[in-house]
Amino acid sequence: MTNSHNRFRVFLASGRLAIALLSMIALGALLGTVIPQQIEAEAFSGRLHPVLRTLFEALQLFDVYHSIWFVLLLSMLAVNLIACSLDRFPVAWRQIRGGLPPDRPDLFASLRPDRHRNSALSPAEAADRIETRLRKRQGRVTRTQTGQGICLAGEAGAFSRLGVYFVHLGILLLIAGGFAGAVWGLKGHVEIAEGGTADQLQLAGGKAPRTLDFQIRCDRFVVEHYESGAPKLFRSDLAFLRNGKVEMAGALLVNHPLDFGGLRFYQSSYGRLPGGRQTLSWTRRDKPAGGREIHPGNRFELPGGAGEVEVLRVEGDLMRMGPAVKLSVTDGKRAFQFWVFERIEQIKAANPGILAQVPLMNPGLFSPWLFSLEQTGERYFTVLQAAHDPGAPLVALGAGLVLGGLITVFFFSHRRFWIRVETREGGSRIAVAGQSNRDPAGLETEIRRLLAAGDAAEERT
Amino acid sequence: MSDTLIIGWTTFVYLASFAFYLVRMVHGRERWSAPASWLARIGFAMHSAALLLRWKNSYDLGIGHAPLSNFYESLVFFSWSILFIHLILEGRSKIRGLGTFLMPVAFLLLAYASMVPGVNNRIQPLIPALQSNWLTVHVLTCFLGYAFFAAAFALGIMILLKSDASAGVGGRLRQRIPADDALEELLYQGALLGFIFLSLGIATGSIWAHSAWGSYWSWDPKETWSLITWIVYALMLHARAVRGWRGKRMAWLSLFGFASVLFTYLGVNYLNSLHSYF
Repeated sequence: MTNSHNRFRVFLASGRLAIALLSMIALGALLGTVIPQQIEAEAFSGRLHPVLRTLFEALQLFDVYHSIWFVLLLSMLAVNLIACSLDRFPVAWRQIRGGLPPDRPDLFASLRPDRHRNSALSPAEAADRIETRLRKRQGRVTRTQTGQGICLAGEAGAFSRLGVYFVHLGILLLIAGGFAGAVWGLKGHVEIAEGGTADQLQLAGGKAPRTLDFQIRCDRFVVEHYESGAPKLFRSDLAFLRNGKVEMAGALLVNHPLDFGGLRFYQSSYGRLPGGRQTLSWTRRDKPAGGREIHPGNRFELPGGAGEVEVLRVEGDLMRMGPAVKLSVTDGKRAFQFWVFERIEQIKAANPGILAQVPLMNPGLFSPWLFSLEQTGERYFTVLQAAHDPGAPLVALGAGLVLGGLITVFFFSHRRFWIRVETREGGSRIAVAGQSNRDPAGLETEIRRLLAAGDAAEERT
Repeated sequence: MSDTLIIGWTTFVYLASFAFYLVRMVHGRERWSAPASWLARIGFAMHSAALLLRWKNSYDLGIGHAPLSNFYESLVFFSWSILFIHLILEGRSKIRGLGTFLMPVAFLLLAYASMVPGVNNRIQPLIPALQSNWLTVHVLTCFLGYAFFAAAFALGIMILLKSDASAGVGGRLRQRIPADDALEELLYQGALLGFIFLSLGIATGSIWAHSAWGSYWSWDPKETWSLITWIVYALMLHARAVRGWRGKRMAWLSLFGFASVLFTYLGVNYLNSLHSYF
């Protein structure tokens, strides 16, 4: 292999490249949250200077997350992860499988004074006690007799060196799963009127609609509200049919998708179909005084020539407060315009004092007449989202590996200890050396405990 | 007694605790640390009681959900998590100075929750999108992660103050801050634990999105910013592990990371997001 080849490999596997790529991915992601994306971009791009707009379009800044450069950055990150893992894994594997030498004279040659301790116990007894302590925490323990005395060695947590590779593999799977979903996945929506049937899937991204090999029937769509007016429930009662026979039926709710025919269906949206009838009723001094079906532009007289009503607007859902009509009422001396909401009681309960603050919403403005609205024969349509994502299992596995790897990194460290117990006049002399790939404070604590374990004067913990 | 009233009082207890921590650090007298710690503990007990009471109240109202469902409740829980971590760190590491930098964060979050008029503190029923068991575990993991990042941030400030060689008050400040190595190790552990909880938070959020919106990832601004925050801390952990960064550099990264956390939490509300409930 040539030198430049080698240098290229080192570059691909370098931590520097990883840091640069991650920074660029973060910056790109940030741009996508600041610049309006996809559909929202249209209005925004119209306000930009033409030169700037051309530049933004060339750089695909209106669809950052699907742009060539973003995909390229992610692919580069994948290559970097593979290269750096291949580069470092053999070293880590040698450290994991490397075995535990019974003695490490090199470490004892320069051991700090506070890693030594004199004990009144005989060397054999001190070594026994230390070995008991060692076995409590370390998976592998050896004991050998040498010319200098007794040598103990212990090791645990070697597998924790694998944690970081689990994280890297997990991220690779996340990227792969994301690409698989983007390439082979399917995303679309279906609109079905209550009582109607549909078998066409409108695909995202302007692709031609896809005809399903089954039909979906919506028997009923239910929307419920809390007293505050906030939505409580959206539910589509669906039936899935093949050749006119119902194969599956069930209720589809937000957070409760349904699976059929290799697709997963979600409750996405809903709306009202035109064709519902609006009935306006009125009372005079709390006594019912009449009512009629209304349409925009209608004009009619109140009983006894008390006033003339004109229907200015009819809305299915005004400002998310439900159906409402706008009336103009005049009796020659007074003239008012106001909205009549169907759900006025809920609106009043949720916003005390609203009628006084906003006379435009007061259906009793033309006192002593009070108007109310009722909808009959109204039909809803439901919008289902349908998706098939073959990448999802890969992503789930990847996420599991990342989390498992991180937890391994945090909670475990590869620790090795070597202990020498030598004969001293009136007892023994103990020396403890330790190595750890992480958590120096934890290593220090364990060394102190091992030293204490060999001394009878110390209460063992 | 209403839970929001208890939270209001807790805000002042935290302020008082912070004041004692500050006096201790500026005067350099250890005797101020006892009242500071005790006030923090009393505040934490009140805070916990308020959370439980709010949970119970929501059941009494027939709504019945954990107090983790809107912006007010998230502020209160964020602050609670910070206190939880602060008290554990103080108990285990004997580092008292941490309160000087963590208590004001906890105090400001509660003050924001209690005093800013735009924050609705009513117990609200769940809208359909939030009616999921993943709500509690998603919010719990995210905010525990944020709280660990807050702890790393406070430790970062301590490291920077300590390394600042100015004399006078600064000099006395430095004596009140423990050795660099201990802070450094705690900062690393805080950032790593925060990173684990943030990863859990993103994972639980993805599972939830998969069943609510039909996609485990939609590049929603909040999602994207949580990814940016995740990358910032991933860089920080790599800078330490691969390039051997320590001390001031790690401290600056912890500040930078926490700024990203705050933007993920609060700044995103100014962008158009599916996460508008928080």
